[in-house]
Amino acid sequence: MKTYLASLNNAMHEIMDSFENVVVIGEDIRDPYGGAFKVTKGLSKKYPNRVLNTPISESSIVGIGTGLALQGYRPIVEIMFGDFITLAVDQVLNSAAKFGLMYGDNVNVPLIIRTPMGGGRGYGPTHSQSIEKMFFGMPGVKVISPSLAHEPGGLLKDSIINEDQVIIFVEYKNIYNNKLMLEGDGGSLHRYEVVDDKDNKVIYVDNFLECKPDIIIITYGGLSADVLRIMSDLVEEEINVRAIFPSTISEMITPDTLMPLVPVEHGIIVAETGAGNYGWGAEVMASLFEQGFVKDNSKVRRLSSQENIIPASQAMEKEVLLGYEDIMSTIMELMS
Amino acid sequence: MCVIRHTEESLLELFSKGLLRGTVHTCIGQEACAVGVISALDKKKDILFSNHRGHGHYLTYSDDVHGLIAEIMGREEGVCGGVGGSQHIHKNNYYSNGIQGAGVPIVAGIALAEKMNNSDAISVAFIGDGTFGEGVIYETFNISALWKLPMLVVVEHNQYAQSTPSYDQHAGVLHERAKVFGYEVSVVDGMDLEEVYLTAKRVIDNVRKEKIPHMLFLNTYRFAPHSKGDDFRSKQEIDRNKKRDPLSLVRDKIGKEIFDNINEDALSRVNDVVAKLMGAKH
Ligand SMILES: Cc1ncc(C[n+]2csc(CCOP(=O)(O)OP(=O)(O)O)c2C)c(N)n1
Ligand SMILES: [Mg+2]
Repeated sequence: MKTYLASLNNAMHEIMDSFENVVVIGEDIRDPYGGAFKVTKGLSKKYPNRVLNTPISESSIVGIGTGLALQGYRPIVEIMFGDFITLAVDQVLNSAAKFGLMYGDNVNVPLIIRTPMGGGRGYGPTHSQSIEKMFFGMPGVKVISPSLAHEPGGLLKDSIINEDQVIIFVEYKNIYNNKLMLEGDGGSLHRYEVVDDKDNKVIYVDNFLECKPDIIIITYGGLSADVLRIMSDLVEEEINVRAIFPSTISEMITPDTLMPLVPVEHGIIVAETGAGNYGWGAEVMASLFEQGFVKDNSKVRRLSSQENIIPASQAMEKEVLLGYEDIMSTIMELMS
Repeated sequence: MCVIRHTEESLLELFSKGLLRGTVHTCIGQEACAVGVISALDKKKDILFSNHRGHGHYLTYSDDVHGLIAEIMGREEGVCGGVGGSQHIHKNNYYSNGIQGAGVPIVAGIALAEKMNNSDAISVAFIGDGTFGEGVIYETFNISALWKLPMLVVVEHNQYAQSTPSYDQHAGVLHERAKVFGYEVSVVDGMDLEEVYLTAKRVIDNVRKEKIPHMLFLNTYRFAPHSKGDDFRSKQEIDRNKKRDPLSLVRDKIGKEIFDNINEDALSRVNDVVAKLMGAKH
């Protein structure tokens, strides 16, 4: 069975094999090192001229990616840790994203910026945050984040094939080495996929074949590991859980995506790894209410990590980050 | 220097036993840079801003072996309560952070404050050669030279940034770069403690007196991997550089007997701290 990391690495190879105009740039991405998290491993051996190590220059990395994209290349750039994308935000917001919108003609910047977010590995405050929400609501930017129930490499390939704008591709570093939950190998879990009209690949996972959900959990990225584990663990308790994992996290959730929400017996949980205020969960909640999916507001819960930086120590990091226990206890509270 | 070496060696050992997590960037091989420069500062008033490879800087500044190891072990008794870990440390006039280059403008701001206060404190930024990739340092070279800020930029040129050799990521001659902004640059053998100290002393006195920025450019080498794992440098290259181990160079100067005494004291000090921390329950 494939891991999240292997899926991404294989996809990078397949993308470079199929598209001669793909150029990969970033810090320490060439072999034998192959990137801080090894997503680019093996690429420079095969394509030495299209895989470029840069100096520690995040702003230039994104700007150069933009220039390549303007000239017809399909750059995939890597920002080593999600926290460092702040150094390149001006290039994203004021140039790359705007070029496709402000010139009023056919200028496109099909630029993919891959970066790992999230904690759980003890790297401390400047290497662990989930700050993708900075890019939500930024015109011209789409944020995609695979869960363990997605095929992460597939999403990356789709981005190359289908997209002609700036993509922030958010990988979750806590699940790089986790096995994917793909069709057929989810143990007792059942997975199906819906693609909405905005190309959002939404994965539904049920823990019973004829699931009449007691609880629905809507989340993305790294939390999928905890949620899938919870769902397996709740089979014995006969608690029916449906998880909904969108891949495009910067778009409003559409009504068709939410249809499988009804009817839900006990409650809906919206969960995100980042700090919750003004976050993704707030937007999802607003959609649920606006679209009339929530009749009884005593049954919805919004969960997130604490409003804090991510400490280095294991115990404190665990306390700040949303995880298995918090979600499980919320389920039990809603069930009681 | 011996305390730094033994502290970091035990950190690497704790890591390999799974007793530490996260990152541990050691300065093994670069100890003369930390000790030579920081010993020449006035620790009461000068302000230091270190980077991801800061254990040696911190220990020279504070001599706080227990606080550092406890911090990296994630203990509450650590210098930052376990929140910061290896790369995010503060005590008195000492700061470190894990974002390359970000400390350089902050040091300029500190220098501006000290200048406006009419104090004679200076501020010091430590950066690696790889950090010459970040644009913000050039913005700061310009402003700090223009405003005549009393700051020192210490470059520890260990020839690598993570996996990438300096020659693969920098055009031209690194130590020339700040000169075009009007910086004076002193290039020093960073393996030789005496040379680092004597140059640092002279430069620091001058920055303090003349209120101008200066760059101390130290040529050095790290003997251990970038962080804990992966190291693709050749063994030959590492061994060649180890022949100029800054500790051996000191031993040759002060004599084996004196050195061995100091070294043994350092080792037992560090061992005691580790034993105490391992014995203590979280
Ligand atoms: C803004 C930013 N980009 C990238 C990194 C990841 N990173 C940590 S250390 C390092 C290499 C630094 O090289 P150098 O400045 O030469 O210092 P050295 O590690 O050699 O002491 C990199 C790329 C970072 N910490 N911050
Ligand atoms: Mg270096």
